[in-house]
Amino acid sequence: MKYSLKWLRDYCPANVPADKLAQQLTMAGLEVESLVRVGDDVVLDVEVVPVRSDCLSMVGLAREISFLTGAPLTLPPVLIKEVRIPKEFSVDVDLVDRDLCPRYSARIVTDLRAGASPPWLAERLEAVGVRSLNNVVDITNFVNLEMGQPLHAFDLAKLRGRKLVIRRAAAGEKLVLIDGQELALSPEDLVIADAEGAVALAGVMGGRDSEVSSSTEAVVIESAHFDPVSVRRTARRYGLSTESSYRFERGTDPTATLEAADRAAALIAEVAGGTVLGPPADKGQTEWSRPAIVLRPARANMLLGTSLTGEDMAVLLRRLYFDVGLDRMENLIISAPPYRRDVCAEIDVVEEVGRAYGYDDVEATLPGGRMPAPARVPREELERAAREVLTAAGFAEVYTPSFTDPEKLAAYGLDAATAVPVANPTVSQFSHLRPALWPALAEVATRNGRLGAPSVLVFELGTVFEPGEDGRVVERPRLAALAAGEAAPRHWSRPPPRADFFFVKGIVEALARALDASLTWRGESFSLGDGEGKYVRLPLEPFGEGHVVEMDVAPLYGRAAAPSRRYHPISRFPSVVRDLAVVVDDGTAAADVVAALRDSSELAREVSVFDVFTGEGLPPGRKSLGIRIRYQADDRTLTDEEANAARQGAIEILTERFGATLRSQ
Amino acid sequence: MTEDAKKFLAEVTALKTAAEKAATAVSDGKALERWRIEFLGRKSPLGRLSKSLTSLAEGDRPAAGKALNELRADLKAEYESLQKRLGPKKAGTDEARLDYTLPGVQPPIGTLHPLTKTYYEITAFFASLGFNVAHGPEVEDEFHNFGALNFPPDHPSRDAQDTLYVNDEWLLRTHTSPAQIRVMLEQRPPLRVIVPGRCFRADAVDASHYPVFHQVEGLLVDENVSLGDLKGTLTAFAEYIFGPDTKMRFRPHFFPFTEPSAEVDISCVVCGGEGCRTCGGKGWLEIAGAGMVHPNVFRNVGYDPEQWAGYAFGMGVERIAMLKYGIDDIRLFYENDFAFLKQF
Ligand SMILES: [Zn+2]
Repeated sequence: MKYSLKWLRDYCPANVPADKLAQQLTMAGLEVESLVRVGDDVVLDVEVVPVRSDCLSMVGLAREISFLTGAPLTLPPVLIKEVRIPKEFSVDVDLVDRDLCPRYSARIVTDLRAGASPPWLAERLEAVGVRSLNNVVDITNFVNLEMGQPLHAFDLAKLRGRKLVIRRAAAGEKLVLIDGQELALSPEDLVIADAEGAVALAGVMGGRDSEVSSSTEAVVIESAHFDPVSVRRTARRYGLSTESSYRFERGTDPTATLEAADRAAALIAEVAGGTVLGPPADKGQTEWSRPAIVLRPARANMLLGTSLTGEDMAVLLRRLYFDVGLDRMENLIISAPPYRRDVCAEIDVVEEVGRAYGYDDVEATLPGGRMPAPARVPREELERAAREVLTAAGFAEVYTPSFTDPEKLAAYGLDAATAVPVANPTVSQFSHLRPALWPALAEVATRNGRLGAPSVLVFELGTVFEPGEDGRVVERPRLAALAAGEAAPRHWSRPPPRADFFFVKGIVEALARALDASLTWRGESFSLGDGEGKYVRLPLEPFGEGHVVEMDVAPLYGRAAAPSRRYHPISRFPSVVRDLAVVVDDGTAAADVVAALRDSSELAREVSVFDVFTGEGLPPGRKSLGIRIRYQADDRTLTDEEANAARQGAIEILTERFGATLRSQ
Repeated sequence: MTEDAKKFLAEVTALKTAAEKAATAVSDGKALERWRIEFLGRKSPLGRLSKSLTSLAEGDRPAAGKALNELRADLKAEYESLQKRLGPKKAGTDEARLDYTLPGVQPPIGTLHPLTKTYYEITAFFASLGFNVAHGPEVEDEFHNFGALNFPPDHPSRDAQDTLYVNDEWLLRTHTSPAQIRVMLEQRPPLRVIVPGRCFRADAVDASHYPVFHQVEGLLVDENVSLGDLKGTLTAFAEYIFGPDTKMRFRPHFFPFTEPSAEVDISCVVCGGEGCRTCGGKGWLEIAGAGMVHPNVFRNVGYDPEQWAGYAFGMGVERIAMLKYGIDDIRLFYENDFAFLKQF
């Protein structure tokens, strides 16, 4: 909210430079976001937190300034000269729905001349960004800004049946607002109605048909206390936010309604030359009391880290207009002023003591007390392990948004029906939650490729989403890695390797080693430990194609934290290497052959494929695998005979299980 | 050994010397071919010498033959080495003329995202104070994201949250604070927990807003915990992350789930407090929201607010990273240009 320093000084003539004052307000929880000099005035823009509605007025902020600077606070005078209401001007106020309007006060001013506002009034309003309309409306706005009590003026002549009924709207009841918008009301809306229908949306905006105009001669000034939740719901239902609804939503002072109506009536009589009629209408609850709150000084000191006496606290609170008494236990018995709707419990008073004392003066200490036992966090450890493997392989970590849209998904061959839609997206490209990480990695690759990168190696750890039962959303933490273009940094002395399937598969194998997890492939899918993953080859500009592996990582949590890995004693005896060139059917999986060889002898320590080819010299439908087996024993040097016997055994197994033949050498 | 044999061996030695000397002058393919014909060709002295081997005395033949074979092998090796030297190849690799200033082969060097690096620094600090890490779901319900955190229904305090909804029941968490609730429902004090994670807001995209951002939430619950402890913790944190000269201040603020609440500012990392563009002339930069856990939050998780006290804080990882590295546009974190990523 904007505040004029000149206006504030009407109530608290603090002799403090504006920037010093801004600093003090900021440190008291009223953050001054900007300070602009306008002529001989200074306009402060202050962020008022939602619970400090008492500060949404000049008087409210002046009260804080008075506390901070010690300068006296002068409240605006209310000097009413009222004339007893003649019959022809009486208005019958019928407060029907007291739950939504606990108090409704109103004053009538007659014989006025609506017209331009005097310069002082227009200046005050315009200084804080409120447009001057006419003297009557300007006064209602002025008093709202001055006291924080929203007011509304009805043209008395336009109230049919001289009645004001405060009631819920009938379903579908129509109301044309001051701004011209026609509403079909909900039965949950509170309205002010005359004898025939709604004339104002309570606490939000007045109606066009009862608006004050240049021909207005008499007005009813409404000063009510509306239920904050009701006003908020109604304002949101119609997408409205007004000076009035803003204050009512945050809570107003129910004890101030009559005073504000009187203040406005007196000022209207002053600037528009009218007569104030009395007595005022004042329906609903007119007596309000605050609960007594017990403040234990020891508790307050413990929570704040201060060592104030009860008396110190009482002094601070009294300066903020709190009533403070003492009970027999030396506790303070507090009653907050009526406008401090945020202070209802001991903790609220503790905060107020801390704020008044100054957070700056609270000594900074490190926490003592008991430390909980350190715990391993499997997810963190897995993520660190994965990041180590990927960065060691030259991959750059990326963060992409969690959102996508159906068009993008379709472009990557994914079904939008598998993605969870966001109910209220702000950006159309962010309409759904991502069902996979790799499409965004592909975009990162294309972007960098177009910027000239010859190589893109990127990975992301992030959550993907899929629709679950009963409107739930299933979250899956994933790891995805994408490689495109050159698979290693360039050097002039040698051609760079290209990223391909085997390159990204190598990453998965490295992860398997790091996590001591099993890895099996079935076509383009794989299982890494208990997690499932998939290889995707996709067309990717400007590289031609990209290669992706994406896998669930939640099933791998715990692998990095408590690996099953055990030390295997190192053999001191030399190993013997034997090579095999076997011819098998094209459909035979190399992994199965390797596994069979690994199991073929307990001496087989390492089995690796060093060559694969088809064609030349081979029957159609067959392929040749060149395989190297390293044999080793823990307790002796192997003899050639032992190694040859093991090799022979291996050949027999391959022949039997895979129909393998030895390729003649 | 006969005189003939001695002469034979001398000729072998002389031939070797001549060939080596001639080799130094070979500078192109043509010269190499001439060298080959001269020293290895059919009419070369080598051929003549091998023919004359049979005319030597029987006893001298093995030694002479050995010398001749060695010469032949040496000449062939010399020829191959010349061939290699003159063959097509990259400039600069000649050992003798190696240009040591040419760039080396780069090992593949991956990079961690700056948000990860920042997060790891944050974690390292809090781990040293005994905080454990906990995680929570990104899709939350109303109870964990708002209700249990003491956000009254239909209250303006919810406006600041700009919540993205999946449906009536489920929403994308607007902060990592719901995980506080999950931790407290599962564990008993004393507690020291930080919760990292991705959060969501219905924000438009600009230099300082993005619908996705990351937060680290902290929670400490024990029997005696004060606002002073919170100040001390965050002061030490600011000095750890931004350097020992960093000053910190607490401004009273409002959050539904803490009371007293504060916004935490550090002295501007650019101007040191004098006032500049980064800090909007204020000399201070906001880095966190914090406060003492509200008694209603304790009640909502079944802790007795008379027995326990606690503090909580939340900070934006993007915000910390931007201040730490001097990054002025939040979108850079999500665009992933290598020109950006490779700087970290
Ligand atoms: Zn600065």
